[in-house]
Amino acid sequence: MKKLISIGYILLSLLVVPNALAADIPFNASTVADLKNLYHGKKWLMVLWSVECPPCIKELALLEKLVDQNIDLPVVVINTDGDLSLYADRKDLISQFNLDSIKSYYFTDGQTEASRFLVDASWFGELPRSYFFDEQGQSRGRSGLLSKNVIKQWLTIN
Amino acid sequence: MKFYLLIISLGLLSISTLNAAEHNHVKMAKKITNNEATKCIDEAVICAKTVTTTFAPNGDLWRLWSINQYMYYQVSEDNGNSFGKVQRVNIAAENISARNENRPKIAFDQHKGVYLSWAISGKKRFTGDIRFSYSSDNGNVFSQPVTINNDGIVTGHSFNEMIVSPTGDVSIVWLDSRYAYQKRKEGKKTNGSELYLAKGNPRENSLFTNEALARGTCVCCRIAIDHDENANLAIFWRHIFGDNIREFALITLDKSKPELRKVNQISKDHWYLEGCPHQGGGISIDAQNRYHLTWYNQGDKGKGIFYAYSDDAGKSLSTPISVGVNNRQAAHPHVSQHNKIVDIIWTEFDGKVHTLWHQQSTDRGESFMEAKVLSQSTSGSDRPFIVSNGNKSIVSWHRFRSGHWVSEL
Repeated sequence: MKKLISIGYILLSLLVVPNALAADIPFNASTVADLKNLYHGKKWLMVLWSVECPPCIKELALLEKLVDQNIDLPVVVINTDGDLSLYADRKDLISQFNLDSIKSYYFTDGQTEASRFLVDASWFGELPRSYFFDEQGQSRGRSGLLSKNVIKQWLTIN
Repeated sequence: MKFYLLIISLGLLSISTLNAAEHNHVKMAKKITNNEATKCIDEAVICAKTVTTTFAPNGDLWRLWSINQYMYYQVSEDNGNSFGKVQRVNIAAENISARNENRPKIAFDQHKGVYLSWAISGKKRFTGDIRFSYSSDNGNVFSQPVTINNDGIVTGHSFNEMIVSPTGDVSIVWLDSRYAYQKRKEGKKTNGSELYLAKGNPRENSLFTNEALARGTCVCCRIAIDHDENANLAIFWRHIFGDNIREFALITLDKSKPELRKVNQISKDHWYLEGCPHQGGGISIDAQNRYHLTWYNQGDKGKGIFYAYSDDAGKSLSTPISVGVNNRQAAHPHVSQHNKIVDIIWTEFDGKVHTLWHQQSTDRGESFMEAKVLSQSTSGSDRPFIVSNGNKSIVSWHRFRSGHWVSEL
């Protein structure tokens, strides 16, 4: 029975994790490692944003256009607000920009600094913040609004 | 079939555990007690995201916070060691901004007047107004709030700061998007907001004026203000220079020196960022008109927290000195002076523990003693502030779900 449960857990992780990642889910200590495993061998982009950051909203609008043209865009968005009172705003914005299909995480209430540190101990929280992950899972961080061309070039899309 | 059911039920279990974990997290917060033995019930300061602390002229220390669209305050007669009963400000619920760089402000005159200023967010994203209310009877009754920005446009007005003279002359500064709104209507692009000033005196029933002081400010950092020795208002804020170079700027509203009203670049750290730093600076002007300034940048010419002083309202500057340890996430500096003493505080973070640091100069900023740890927090960390009444300085550091920490320097 124990063996069956262990196999069940393994299969569960295979079956549930990819689906769970596509939803609006809380960020935790293993999120970045999970994502690196998921995208291993691929270039991908992680974008951190806040509902209270005007350039972040511009970036969401930019991602909307790219997602519209590329269904399987390897982009993950992470909301950094960490504030229960902004959860509804976050969800509204994700829907407003038709980003429900991409992997979307959020820092949980009161956990902004701790979660930020898990992403990158040298990042001070300026936004928007992007991490360009290569095929080996190595990343380069960059602060500020990205241009469409920079994203397209990194992800090799049209 | 049983195996699939097991997988599905395990899947549901893991999802419900996540939801339950978060739910419990919120419930747990209500049970935590702080060092003041205060439960996190709705209106208690421990539940606030930010706290504002100010000395009243009689030496009482007031703290103000906002929860669920209301403002609350408490008064301490012993420099923050203990606080009296929680009082709710008798103003109808408003969508008060009280997170990160935004928080309500409180000030006093010499006639038992208490002045409140805050920003509210509108229904449309990035819109809001600057609001104001006044009590002539030491906070018992507050006036019907008024909107300070006079444009009547549904656009951004936020990051308010306020100073009040002993006779009730109120100066409120904020970041204003009316120009950007108008240009957008014309199909033109702009970058940043405008720095605005409102002046009025509720004791004389004078209406608030509105005046634009600078154009092209960063849109998401708090402003810092102080009076110089001649009661002229000095304003220190993050400005956008050229192509998104975010640097600190200073103006002083001295009628006899119009050159000081021009945007004067202070920091030269060359931080290129088309985004939001969410970190304003600090200013404190001493009795000899020396401006003590602190700021944070991540530029290619300067990274971290810096302190410098100016003896000519920012025309020239001492060589900026580095404060704190940049690779320990030194951030959110604040500065205050009294009696030749200059205090700088800031926070550092190692992933688990927030540490509040303090560095002091006893010779008007010429030299500083070694940095010392003041306090630590394993829960949240609001921006720390130094509040001075001219004779002593106290530190106010709020930790969400942990409590408001106050200590004399």
